[in-house]
Amino acid sequence: MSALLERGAARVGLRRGLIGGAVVLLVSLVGMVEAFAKRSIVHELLGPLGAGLPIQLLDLGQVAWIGAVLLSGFAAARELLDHGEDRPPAGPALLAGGITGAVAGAMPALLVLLGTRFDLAEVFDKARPQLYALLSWGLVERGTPSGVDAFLATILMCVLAGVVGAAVHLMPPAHRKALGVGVLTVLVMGTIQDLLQKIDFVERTAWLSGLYDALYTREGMEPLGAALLLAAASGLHLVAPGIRAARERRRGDADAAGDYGDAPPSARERTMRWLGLGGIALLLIWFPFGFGKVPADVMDLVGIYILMGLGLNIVVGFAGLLDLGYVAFFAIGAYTVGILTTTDPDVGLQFGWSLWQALPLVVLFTIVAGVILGVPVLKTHGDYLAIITLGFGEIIRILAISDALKPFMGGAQGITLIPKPFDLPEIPMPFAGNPSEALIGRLNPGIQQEIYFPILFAVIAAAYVSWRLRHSRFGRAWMALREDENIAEAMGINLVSTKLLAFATGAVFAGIGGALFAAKLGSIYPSSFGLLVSINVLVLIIVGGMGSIPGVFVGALAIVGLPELLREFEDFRLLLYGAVLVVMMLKRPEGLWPAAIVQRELQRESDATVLP
Amino acid sequence: MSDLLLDCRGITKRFGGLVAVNALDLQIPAGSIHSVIGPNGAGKTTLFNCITGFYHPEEGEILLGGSHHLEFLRTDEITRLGVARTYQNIRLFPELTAVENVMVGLHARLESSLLGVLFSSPATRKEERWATEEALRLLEVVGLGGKGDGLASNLPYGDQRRLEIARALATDPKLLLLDEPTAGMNTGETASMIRFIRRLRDDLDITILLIEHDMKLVMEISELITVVDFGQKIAEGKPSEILANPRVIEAYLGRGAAEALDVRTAAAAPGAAHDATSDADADAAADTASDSGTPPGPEPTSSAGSQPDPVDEGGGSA
Ligand SMILES: Nc1ncnc2c1ncn2[C@@H]1O[C@H](COP(=O)(O)OP(=O)(O)OP(=O)(O)O)[C@@H](O)[C@H]1O
Ligand SMILES: [Mg+2]
Repeated sequence: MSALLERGAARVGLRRGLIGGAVVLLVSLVGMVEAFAKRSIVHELLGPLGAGLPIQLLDLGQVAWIGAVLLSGFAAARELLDHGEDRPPAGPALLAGGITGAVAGAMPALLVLLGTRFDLAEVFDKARPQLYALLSWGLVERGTPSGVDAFLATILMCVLAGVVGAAVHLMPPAHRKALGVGVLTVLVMGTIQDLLQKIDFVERTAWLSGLYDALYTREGMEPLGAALLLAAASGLHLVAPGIRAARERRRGDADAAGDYGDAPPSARERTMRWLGLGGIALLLIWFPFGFGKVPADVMDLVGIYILMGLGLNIVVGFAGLLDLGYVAFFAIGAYTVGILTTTDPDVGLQFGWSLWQALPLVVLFTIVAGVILGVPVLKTHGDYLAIITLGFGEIIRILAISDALKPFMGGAQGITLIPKPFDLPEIPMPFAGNPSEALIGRLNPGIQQEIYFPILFAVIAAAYVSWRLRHSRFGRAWMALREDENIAEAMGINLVSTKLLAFATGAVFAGIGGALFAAKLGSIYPSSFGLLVSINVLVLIIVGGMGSIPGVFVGALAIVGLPELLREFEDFRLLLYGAVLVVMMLKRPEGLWPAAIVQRELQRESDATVLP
Repeated sequence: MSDLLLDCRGITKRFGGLVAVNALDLQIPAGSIHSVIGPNGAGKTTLFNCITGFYHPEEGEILLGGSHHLEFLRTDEITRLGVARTYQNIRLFPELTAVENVMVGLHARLESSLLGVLFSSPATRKEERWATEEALRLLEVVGLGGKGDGLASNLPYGDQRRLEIARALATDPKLLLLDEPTAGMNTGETASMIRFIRRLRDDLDITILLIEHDMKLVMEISELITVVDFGQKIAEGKPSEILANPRVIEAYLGRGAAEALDVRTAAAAPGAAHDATSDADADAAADTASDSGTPPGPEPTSSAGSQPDPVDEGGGSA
């Protein structure tokens, strides 16, 4: 017994259990478990074996709360590691995992027990019978009236989860990681079932739709398919390092020649890079045809946020000027297009311009607005700058909503009847009915009026501009400014023009984003230009990696794209933002795809720890 | 000396009631190595800050090359006129690489336009190539060859000081202000810094204005020394003259040291100035050592031991 308790297994289990239990209570009481339960991941998890058991399928809600217990068990086992060890001693680890599970499980179990006796909904509006059913595997309804069996079942399940979590830590690290990747793949594939369903070409292509049918039931994945997927993903992850190492070894010789970061890449590397970019470009062009309207709509929004992200990345990421009123430029772009192009006789200037005629003015106005914001804040830094820009953002929104400007900007009713940028007739498909149709679908007017391509073009242009500027004297001046404004000035950098250039460039990107946003939706309302937009953009560059251009893309996909796909998350968006940000700041402050220098330094640090 | 590169006339800088620099005159001939010394808080760094536009003096004028009035200019304009500096507390751009730090220093010498950058014009490409090569060359010059791609903040202390000099050189200065360039360096590093500073003047024709607490370095390298105390100039002259000046010794080393030294300099008066140098240095070292409470052990001995070599060098060039 004492051997089992060595390294304070009981204490560790207790503490991890309390933390895990708190997380379970949180996700339950804010309603996540219930909301996520609507998304099934694996159908009939245990196949025919599970027929009599309460666990019919694995859903995302279960993943959320059981997963928390499982991870707590894993964390408990890890806490037992001595310095330099890979694996903790089995006995204490499993015991700690079990205790973790029991303690963590006691909390939802108690919640169920209490909730079935007293009405907790007055305090926690999500504490409802549906939640109790989910937490007790349906036993509250079907089990004994006392609820003792439900209580025990919840705890038992959690003990199991805790022990399994701890047991995972007993595996060799490589296997452990491979298993993690496998499980994650299944979870992701299960979660995106709806999305796959909406992709046009999956439906149109025989083998893909066959694969889809084989993998998925109407609700969740086939258990066998899920198992195969897990095995495949884990297996791939196990063999991948070998392949990667071989490739690195080949490339290593080239790198060893002492390059210093921005050294020109070798010819082969360059062709590879161009091929990669070309491939991505083709994929993106094909996307709206292949994936259809709904995914293309999501991509439009992601693209608009990428535009804004690239702009704010220049202001905040490169130049270090914290701008919290960035939405102002987005609004200016949108309202410029709205006022100049709307066909509504009651608002606007009745110019009846097209989007294309309005765009140069959008650029001009946003540059002016960037300078107007920039000049007064030239001498302010940090917090003060943030507050002033915050005010600027609000001013623009309040102008838009004001009664005085209602004839131009439509007040709270906004501007409607903004025409689509394209109005082309349907082009008949030359090869209707043959395989090419499966690949590119019909060039129907729906797609032609899509604003997808202008957005794609604008994003590519903005990324190119960002990249050119980043590697020029202007980009270096911005970064010097970010690092130390006084010293930057002592390097001969003119602070005024450098700051104004950053504000103006950022403003133009956001303005074009706003213009395309207005054209896409056809109507704009002041409520679309609130502080939350600025925060979203800021969050996406933080998550992607401050100052990193690819990071903006990754961040926009993660922060704008994902929630758009997983509609259940909508209610918890801000909560998840908070959680994501806290975790990012603690575990990966440099972002998902950090800027090249940061990456290299991290690499160097990890090399240094591996080879002391 | 005929043409003055820098001419400060009666500059005064106050911080509230405190007069940090008080009606100070300073004349730096082109091509000289000039030191400013003085006790802590004497106003030396403030003087540098006035010359480089970080502060604007309340009174007085600062003339560069006889025509440019620096006291009205912004820091970046002063830099573009050919004044560069390093900082007492190293102030690099920590999150940029060493090469990038130097390339920022090249900023004022690059002229590609925004359009040229956006469309990657041949002129811009050529200029960027030049800037990269020049930055690498400057890193070589200060002895940081091959260390360009690390973050500045990860370099060891001595290398950071060198990088600051490389960055300052990148602005193509006529006048270089060095604020305690050897602070925190060991004797070996200090000796190579002395050689390096001299090379800057001899090979690159850069006029050097130096703040230093290391007496050995100051006495060895300077052609002229200005002593500042409480913001005022209390003495100016060649190293040997400064060492013989009782007022300096009093201000700098404290009254007791002045009296002790007085006796010795009087005794050694007919001898060469070199002797005075080494004596004073040993005294200064012993003095600071006992002041700061560190046991006077090998330190003074070793500095005395390494004396002959640099002094010979100094004698050769003077
Ligand atoms: N920005 C400032 N505000 C207020 N007082 C200042 C400021 N800068 C310097 N001082 C004061 O001016 C005086 C001179 O400071 P300075 O830094 O110029 O001294 P120093 O000769 O460089 O000293 P050290 O040898 O310690 O570097 C000091 O008393 C200092 O406290
Ligand atoms: Mg100082």
